[in-house]
Amino acid sequence: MTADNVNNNAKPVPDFSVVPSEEKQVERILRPSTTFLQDAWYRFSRNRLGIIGALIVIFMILFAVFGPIVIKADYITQDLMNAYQPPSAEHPFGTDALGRDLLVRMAYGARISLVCGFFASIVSLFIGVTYGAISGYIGGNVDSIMMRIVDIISAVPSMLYVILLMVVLHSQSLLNVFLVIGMTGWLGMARLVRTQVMSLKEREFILAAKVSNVSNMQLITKHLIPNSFAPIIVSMTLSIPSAIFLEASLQFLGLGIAAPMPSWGGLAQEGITALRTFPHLMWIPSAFISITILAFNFLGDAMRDALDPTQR
Amino acid sequence: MFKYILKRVLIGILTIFVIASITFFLCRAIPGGPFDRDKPLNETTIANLNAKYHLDDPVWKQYLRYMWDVAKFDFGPSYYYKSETVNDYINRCFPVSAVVGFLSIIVALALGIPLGIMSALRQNKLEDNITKVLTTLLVSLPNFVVASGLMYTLAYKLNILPPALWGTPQQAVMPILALAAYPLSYFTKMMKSSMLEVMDSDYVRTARAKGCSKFLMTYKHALKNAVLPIVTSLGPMFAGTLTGSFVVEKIFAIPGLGEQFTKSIFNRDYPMIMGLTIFYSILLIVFVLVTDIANAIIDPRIKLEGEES
Repeated sequence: MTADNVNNNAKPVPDFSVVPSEEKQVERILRPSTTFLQDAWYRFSRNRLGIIGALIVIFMILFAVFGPIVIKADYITQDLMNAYQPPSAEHPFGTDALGRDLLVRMAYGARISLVCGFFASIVSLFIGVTYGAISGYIGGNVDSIMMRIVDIISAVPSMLYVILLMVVLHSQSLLNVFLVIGMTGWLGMARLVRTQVMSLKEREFILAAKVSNVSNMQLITKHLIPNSFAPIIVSMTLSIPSAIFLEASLQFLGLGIAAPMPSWGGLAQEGITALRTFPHLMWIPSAFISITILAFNFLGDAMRDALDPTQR
Repeated sequence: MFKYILKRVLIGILTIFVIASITFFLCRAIPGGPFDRDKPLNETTIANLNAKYHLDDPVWKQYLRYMWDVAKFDFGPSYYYKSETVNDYINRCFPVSAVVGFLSIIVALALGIPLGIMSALRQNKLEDNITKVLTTLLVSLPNFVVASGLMYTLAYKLNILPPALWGTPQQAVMPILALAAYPLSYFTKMMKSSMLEVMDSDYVRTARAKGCSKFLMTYKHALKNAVLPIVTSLGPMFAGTLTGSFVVEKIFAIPGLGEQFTKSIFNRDYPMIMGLTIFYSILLIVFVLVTDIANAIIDPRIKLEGEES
């Protein structure tokens, strides 16, 4: 491919003239060389959906961080005289059943949803990558036992774990949601890293590293994990929307954090009770949840296409 | 084959055993007894209740008793509904959930497979693009958004379906559609990619070269092989429907097992929670096992784990 490009881009040379030895055009690399990341960035920037996803994600992060600071209303003060206001200049999203400003409640909800999402990606990064790398690297019986454990945990949908934990911990706090995400969020990542490591460890550069007396620990952290970097990043990004999905469903069932702290799923659940009369209370939180999940999915898909062009 | 099935069944039983043990000890770890009420009961009543439910035994004895009961599919009495056992509830509520779940998977298959075939055959044309947008949307919409959207348009605006409750066939339409949304988009995507892969394979090209018509090639040669991944994905999809049923049953006020489960959490009905968790796990494990075995039987190319050949 490079040879073709060079030939096409080379200056036209008169037919059959002798090329002086000092200007061997064919040997010159005309285009600047690009690193892997530059290549990936180029592919990513050409992906319209990915860019849209990234912009929406940035917007949601800004909304979550600065929303509660900028908006004058607070999420807890009730104003029963102004309950169920439709969207207006004072309350751009209207007010809920207790007269609280929906916009500011949405901003607090954004904090919770995004924190859950990012927490899930961090858990899958630390626990999942470590677990998968160890299991794949050691192999044999250790591997089968470690993978059986993963199978057992993933045999039950995470919703059941949350419910059990809610019951056991006797409290409704973000901690429960975090615990469950922590328990189940790393399983997919562990499987992925394990397969990566298992195929990588047969390669020559690992053999070379072993010959030069690199310790097992270093082999995993310096050679095996960095080489699985692309799928890890992609899987991390895609773990965010599923965590937001799970969190919203839990809140919707009334199993998440306790009132009056707002969360998107909780707001949607409050909204559905007034669906017939004040549908905007349902549609606004629903739209935010759906758009955020969609944006993260776009972003993750675009990153997969950019970082891992073979795995489409 | 037999060895594979045996191995999978044993692992399944082990999994259920582990899950049952975890649930048991988690529920025993809860601070406060199951009969703590806002208005305290008197000492003798609690002692009698504890004796009746064998709660005064040492924990290991309770554990053995519970495991033995679970092995006999007896999940014990409910602490909240005095006259009924957990099994009564499963017998009464599970058929409702099963009907909704089963029909939604059928709907998803009936729509998803043709849609997937169509978008594979007309790749990058209008039909494919529409399907793509539709499936991406449906994957990103949580169940409750789909359900409330359906309720709002079909029941409130168009007034063609009853908004909630259970009993008539019309009332089942919206829950089934709401539950079918996610599996539908999943099946469509999967069918499309596997169809594209198969259509690209050598034997399909050979069939075409031998003069096989496009219709026959698609529906006789390609489809049979392309549909296999769908069979494998039925297991995980079933799990998704199960989780989804919690939300959908709550929205449409359907007296199913998911609704009962969420209720029992708020009632702090521990035997019910334990029993239903274990019941769900058994269901899931059996279903995944069955689909895997079915897949191995349908597709002789699959090399089974633990089978030397």
